Amino acid sequence: MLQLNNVCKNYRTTEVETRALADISFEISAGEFVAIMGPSGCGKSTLLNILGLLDQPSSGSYRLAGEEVAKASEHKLTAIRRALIGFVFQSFNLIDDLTVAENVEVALIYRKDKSRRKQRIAEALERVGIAHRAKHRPQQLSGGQQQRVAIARALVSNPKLILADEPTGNLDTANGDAVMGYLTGAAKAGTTVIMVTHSLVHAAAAQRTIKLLDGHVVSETKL
Amino acid sequence: MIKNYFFVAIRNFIRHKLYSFIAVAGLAFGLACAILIGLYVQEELSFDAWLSDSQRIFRVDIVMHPQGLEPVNLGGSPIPLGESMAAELPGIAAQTHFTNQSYTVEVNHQRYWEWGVAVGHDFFNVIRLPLVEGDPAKVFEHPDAVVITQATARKYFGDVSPIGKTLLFDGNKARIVTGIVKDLPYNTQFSGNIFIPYQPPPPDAGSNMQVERDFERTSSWIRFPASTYVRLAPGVSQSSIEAQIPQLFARHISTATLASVASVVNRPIKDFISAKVVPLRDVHLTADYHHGMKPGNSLTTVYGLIAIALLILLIAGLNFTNLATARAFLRSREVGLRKAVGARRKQLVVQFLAESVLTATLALVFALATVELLLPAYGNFLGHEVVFDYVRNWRFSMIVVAGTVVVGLLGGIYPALVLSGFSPAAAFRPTAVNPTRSAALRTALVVIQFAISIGLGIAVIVMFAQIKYARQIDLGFNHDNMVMLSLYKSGLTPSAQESLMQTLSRSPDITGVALSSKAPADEGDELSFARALGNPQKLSVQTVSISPGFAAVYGMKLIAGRMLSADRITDRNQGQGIEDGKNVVVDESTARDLGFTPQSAVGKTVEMVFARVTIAGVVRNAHFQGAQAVATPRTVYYYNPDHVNRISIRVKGGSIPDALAVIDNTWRRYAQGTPIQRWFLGDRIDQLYANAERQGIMLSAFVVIAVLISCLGLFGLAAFTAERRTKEIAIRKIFGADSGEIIRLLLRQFTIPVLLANLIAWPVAYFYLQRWLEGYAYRIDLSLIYFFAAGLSALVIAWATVIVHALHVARKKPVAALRYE
Repeated sequence: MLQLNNVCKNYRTTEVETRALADISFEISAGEFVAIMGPSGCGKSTLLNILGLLDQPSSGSYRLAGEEVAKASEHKLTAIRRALIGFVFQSFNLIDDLTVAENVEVALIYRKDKSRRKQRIAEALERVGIAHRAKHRPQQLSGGQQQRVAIARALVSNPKLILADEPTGNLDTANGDAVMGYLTGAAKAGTTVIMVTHSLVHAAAAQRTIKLLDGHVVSETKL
Repeated sequence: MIKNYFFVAIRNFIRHKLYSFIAVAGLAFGLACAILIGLYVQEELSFDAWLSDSQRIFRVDIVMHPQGLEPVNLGGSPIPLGESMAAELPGIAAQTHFTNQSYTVEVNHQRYWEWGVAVGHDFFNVIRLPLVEGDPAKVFEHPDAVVITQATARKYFGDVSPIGKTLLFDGNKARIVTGIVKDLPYNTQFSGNIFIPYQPPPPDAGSNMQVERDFERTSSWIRFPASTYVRLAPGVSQSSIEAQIPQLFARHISTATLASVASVVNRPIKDFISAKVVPLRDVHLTADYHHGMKPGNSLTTVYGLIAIALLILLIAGLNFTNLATARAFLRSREVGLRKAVGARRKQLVVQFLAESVLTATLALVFALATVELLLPAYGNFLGHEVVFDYVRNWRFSMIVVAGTVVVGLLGGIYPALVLSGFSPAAAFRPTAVNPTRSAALRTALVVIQFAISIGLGIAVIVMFAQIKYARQIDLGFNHDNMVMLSLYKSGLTPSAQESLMQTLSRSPDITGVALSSKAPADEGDELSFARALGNPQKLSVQTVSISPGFAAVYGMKLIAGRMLSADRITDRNQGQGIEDGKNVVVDESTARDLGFTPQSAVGKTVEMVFARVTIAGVVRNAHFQGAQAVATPRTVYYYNPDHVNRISIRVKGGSIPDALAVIDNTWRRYAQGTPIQRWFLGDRIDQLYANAERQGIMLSAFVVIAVLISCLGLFGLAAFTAERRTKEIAIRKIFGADSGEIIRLLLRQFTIPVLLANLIAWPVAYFYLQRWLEGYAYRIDLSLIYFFAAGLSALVIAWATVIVHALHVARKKPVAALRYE
């Protein structure tokens, strides 16, 4: 599904240059569920941003679905993101002014994918058990409910790759487990899932765990 | 506590520089506009109110009611009216009148043309124009006295006192200066450099004196050259005086005089004449005719300007409310904290209102600075000096300060109530402000702002379109390269005038010369009535005496019949006006309204006030007062060499300087010392449109400011929105939105209010502009294009304002945006 070779990411300010990622190389196959772990500041989120085409590496190669994207244009990155990737965030990142259903719709409208749109939204909400709240606004929901909406948004477009950045970080155990259930289910259905997490329990749900420290891959554990 | 409020206010102000700038700049612009408009309005409303006793002084305007016609307000009155009113009606404490004239005045061997007024003996006792020298009760004790203005005195005598000095009027009448009038301010209807006591003209030598005097006495009641002013005794009402005036006329107009006008005035005189007794202070804004006084203004214009000032202030005030409401959530924590430590809601309301008033006060400081900077240019534009004396004009200063406080309070009240209403617990949550409700309010306010701007924009476009249209209309005569001379008081006999005309027309630089009683764009009417024989329908018409070549010189087109000829005795009148049994030429609208086609009109007999005449020819309509006039002209042309005041000289385009030299030299030879009064007709025609053009420019300046202030507000809101929607935009980008889609999203948010604003602005503008256009005889149709132009401009301006923020936001990397969350 994707392949990183010697990916580096440097941040430059006027005074210092910080290396966030150093020579990262790994490969993830289609349908694999991978957890990325490591202490705060180790480069997990940076890596996830690069994987999600929200940021670009300073050097190295990144092939996604057979295409080299490390130096691709913004336009191209947007197009690939639109077609292939779904996101889940720790802080849910729902749009306050839109209803639950409209939030889920955001993942479809830019794909210009109009077929059965309403039905697909309803199915996605049904899948995460939040269909009865379709007309509510995010602020009217609990944290767990909001994250389920975010998962529905990530799933609704049937992406090839789901990137989840500490999806359970703000949730209680029951809600966290539920979210993991949805991600595992997605992986079983053939979607590649990459999840950043601090939780060993949740990382255990993944088939492989990549550990990062100071921008380097320090270990890879395969279940 | 107040110190704490003050510092919080200042810090908030400094921290949110953009919003503070927008609130202050918008309000400063708005206040500056309102102050400038206010100064103008104050002047217009204060006309002659500063004269002592002005509230008891009234002008008597006579209105004629010809049967079957709209009443005609002459604005003037007969010269003997005032004296008769004082003698015969109870309740008249004093009276005076004036008629305006121009004179040549010779002093120290130098001759000047002066605009002067002949006034009743009691003039300075009734109209108490301030005299710097001379006793108002005595200046006109002697009939050969003259009172001049300070400026005229300086012009004639420098710094030497002119009292007792002699001025030679019209080359033959010596007058002694007995008083000096202080230079008059702008806000008086009275103008003129010279005031002389009125004396009735002496009867012609050789005539039967008694008959002349009788005629003069009684026919003077059917001529209306004067403005008559009366001071009413306390407790006397205007209406009681108005009611008695028709009877007064009936007593004074003799049966013989009445018989001479019976063809037209075929109803009792008390039904034909009425009077309007107009308060002195209202004359400037209500009178239709001004008889040589300063051109009047209309209440509609003044109220219109007040409305514009209020609308601009409203726009600026809405900016204030809008930005403050938008940012309310930024201060919700402060509110929560203050409430948690014991602040009451009332205290918070006071705090936020005080901040708002403080901001408004700061805006006032900038507004006053702006006004000071603009006053010279503003005065230039208005044609007279405008000053804002904060101390002497203290009432206005108080209104400005009070107005600023009110704008501050009104602008701040809603945000203050919203902010102070947060519960302490909710205030700490980011959701303290209901985003949907406050967004709807902001949208509504933007809609109002743009509706006002678009409405005013449509008004400007339509106004200029109408002006352009009026200027393009064929006036029915050609005024290019037409040089005009005044024959008034030239002392030239009719045969000398004829000879002067012939001499001028022989010059190779001159292509045509004609004589007439009035010229295009001249003030004053020669009003008469006409009706076709056997047809009861009367028309009010203008009469103009012309020499036979007039139509050819002006390029006026003959439609039917023939022009008047110098060789036909029946075409030629003598004496005052039109003689019985002579021929006239009429314009096509007169022919039509008399009930004829141009062809059928020829040879028909028409009854006029003193004479029965025959139509010899019909010419195309000539709009002597320009195409912006309120009514189509109806003109009867006659030929009377004894009654001409103007020479129209068409000069060759390529040799204007030579032609002017010929004209000046010829004039010197004929007029023997009378200074020449010469002008280009084109300039006077331009002046006919000047007022409308000035109003158009003024309105467009205010519209530009209204739009600017609206845009400032929109800019602030766009900045706020971009800030507030950063997260949303990042999410949308993460899920595949590209920059174009994000820009469209943001533009759409501001497009909808502007489109809604059109829905409000269009019908309102249509309603008012339709009525405004009805005031013009020749007017444009209210095409939808004007509305689309204003609406589209507003949309483009709104987009241009928002696009900066939209581009900035759309280009941001989504990761960076979410990192702050």
